[in-house]
Amino acid sequence: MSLVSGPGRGGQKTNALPDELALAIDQHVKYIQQLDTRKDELQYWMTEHLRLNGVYWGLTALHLMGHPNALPHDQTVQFVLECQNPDGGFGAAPGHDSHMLYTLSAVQILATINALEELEKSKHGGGDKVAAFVASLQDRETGTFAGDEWGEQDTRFLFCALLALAILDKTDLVDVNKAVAYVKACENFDGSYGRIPGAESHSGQVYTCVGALSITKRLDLANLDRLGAWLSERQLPNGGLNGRPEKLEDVCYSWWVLSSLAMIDKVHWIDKTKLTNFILRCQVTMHESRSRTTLISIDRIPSKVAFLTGLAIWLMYSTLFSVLQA
Amino acid sequence: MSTTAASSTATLLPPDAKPPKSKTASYYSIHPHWQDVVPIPQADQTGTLAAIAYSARYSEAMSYLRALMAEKEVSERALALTEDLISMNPAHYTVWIYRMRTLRGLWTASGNVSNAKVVEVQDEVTPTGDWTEEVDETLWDNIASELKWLDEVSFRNLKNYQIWHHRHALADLLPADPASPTTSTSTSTPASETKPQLSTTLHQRLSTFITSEQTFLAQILSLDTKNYHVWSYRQWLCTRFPTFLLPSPPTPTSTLPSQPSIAPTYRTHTEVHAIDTMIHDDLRNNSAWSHRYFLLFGHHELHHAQSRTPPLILKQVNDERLLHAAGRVDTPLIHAEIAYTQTEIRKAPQNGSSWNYLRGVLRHGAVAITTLRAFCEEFLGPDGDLWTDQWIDVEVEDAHTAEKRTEKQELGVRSSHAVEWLSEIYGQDGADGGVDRARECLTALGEKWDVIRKGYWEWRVEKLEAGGTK
Repeated sequence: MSLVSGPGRGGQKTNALPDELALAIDQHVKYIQQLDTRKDELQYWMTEHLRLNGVYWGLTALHLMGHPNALPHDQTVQFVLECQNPDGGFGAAPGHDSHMLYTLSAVQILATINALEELEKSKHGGGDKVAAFVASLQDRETGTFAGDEWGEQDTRFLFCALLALAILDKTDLVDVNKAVAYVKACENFDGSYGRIPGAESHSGQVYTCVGALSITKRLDLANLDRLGAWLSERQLPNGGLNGRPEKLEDVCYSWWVLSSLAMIDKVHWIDKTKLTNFILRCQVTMHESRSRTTLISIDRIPSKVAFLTGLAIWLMYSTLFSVLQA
Repeated sequence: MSTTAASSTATLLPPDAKPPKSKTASYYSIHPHWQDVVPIPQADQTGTLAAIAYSARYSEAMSYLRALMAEKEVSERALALTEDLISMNPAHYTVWIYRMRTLRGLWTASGNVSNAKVVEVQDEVTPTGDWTEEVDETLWDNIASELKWLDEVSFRNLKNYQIWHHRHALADLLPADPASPTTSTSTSTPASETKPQLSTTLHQRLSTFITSEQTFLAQILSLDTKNYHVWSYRQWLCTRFPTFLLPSPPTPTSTLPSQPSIAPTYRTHTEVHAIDTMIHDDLRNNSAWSHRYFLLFGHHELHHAQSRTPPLILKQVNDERLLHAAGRVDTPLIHAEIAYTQTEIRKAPQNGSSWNYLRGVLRHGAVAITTLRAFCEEFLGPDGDLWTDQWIDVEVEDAHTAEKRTEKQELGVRSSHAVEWLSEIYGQDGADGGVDRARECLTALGEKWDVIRKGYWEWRVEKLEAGGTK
């Protein structure tokens, strides 16, 4: 099953749903386009550390909704390249230190708009330089990756590294076997995964660990039955998915859990219709209120990041919609 | 050197002026301590996508930071500038990186930390892992004062990532705990028979630090009980300072055959007690259960896995019962924890966190799930009924009037987890129609108790039947 089923797939209306439970494509596209005009608002620069991520989320949502040209191509490329540093990596915004998270977003954005070759025009070096930056963050002893020169290690960064390198076709720059062994070491007795070996199982970390195994074609190493059971237990009676046992559901975790289930081919273990309706209900509430604060309360997201997390949420449910329809 | 227009014409502030709250006021350009700095403004991005419009004061402070960073300045005023910027935008990770560099630089320059211990960040490979001698008093004071500031920032920014990494980096400057596995692997004399001991003074110092960290963690977790960053830091702290935080710190496998059971006293250990309290306050706190597992069992598994060459993975340690083979399973502790968890499950039979923990304990102790058959059957309906609703109508007679009326009583199935466990237990007990009973459990789950996962339960029935025909 493909996570991204092609432009426009997410936009198809299903007749099974009442009108109020349909994806409001036009409103979402307009919202993402208008983000750029809101830059005088306080929260816009408070979320500067998420800027490049935000462009990726918005862009992906637009592509999923069948509006791939809604953001200007040339300006997108220009902004991405302005975020690059002399070390080859990318920061969240121009002038920010390089970090794995933003380097992946940069590569993803350029790949999405067929502009990877633009990297070769960058004054800070082309695809090879980017790949070398990513590879330099691997801990050659344990196989895992740091996010930046500070050395904070997390399976999130390992996933980001493998994905960026896979897009750049440069996975040979790192020790893939050691990276895979590290992911395996993060498996807990419940079949699920944490940030480092022994850390609490968390569906965000499951997504990154399963993603890493999927990219490296080593899903055979996961305990698929136990993992699938743990993931499917995340669905609550209202249809939404939570991130850890006994937590509340939200759209964000619905994304991490569902895409993990999709990677291990176990989506049929949960109730897809109920999940779809849960996601669409969140959308309806957002539109009725026309207020970011309501959006915040729905998903319990700290207000400081709500502005761009809004984008992420739209990306998520539009992607979810594609998966569920496939 | 050119000066800005503002600094040459405006009246300067008094030297003790603090950064203003206003988003528009100038500060650095008119402060006497900053007149030698030429600010570097943000490069012009007119027309680019996602250009950023800052408040005037934030822009000004950032332009002074760029100037200091360009010169790699290490100074008290640089520290003050990062503090000001963090108060305006705590998520800007570049500012945090510069703050840590500045702190290390200042502490090195002041001579209270030897150059070998605190070096430029780019040269740094490992923290002070083999540092067992006495530490200069000033370093303790410096770290304590930075932590005090960080506590306040943390309470204002619960979801921030950087605060935890900063805290981690600060704590890592403290002397090593000889019981820490990271210490034993980095010592230069691996054949050494005697482990280094903490001096009494150092022990007291570290003990005080740990106590204040536990107090801080309790406070911050009271505001956000399941914060993954906080729990990650707490777990790291346990491995970094095992003498103080683990009820049975790891010992070198070669020297001691096994440790005495901690079962009689472990509940009084400060860290276990802290987790007891958190579970008491909210027995659905999965993070607290997870930390409990790490404290009592997980760190042994991890230590065992990582002390091998090449290192093993956790799953191997459990699957192959390696801790059993090494005589490293504390059986009285396993039974104490099974009893504790059973008590907690009886309080909230549908709590997935406590059932999950119990499964982990059984696995660690290699205790057969079938030993819990009677316990699981407590949560079924009358006579082992698998289908009765939680509340059933019961006819009761009033003692005084002899009048009969119907009352709702909680007598039906009270835990889908118990039904699932029983499906496994009955499935393993093939003798007396166990497979049929196991199938009924799974069917009840798919059709009545957990309909939303019907697809999963159907697969479990298929798996059961495939196993039964073997």
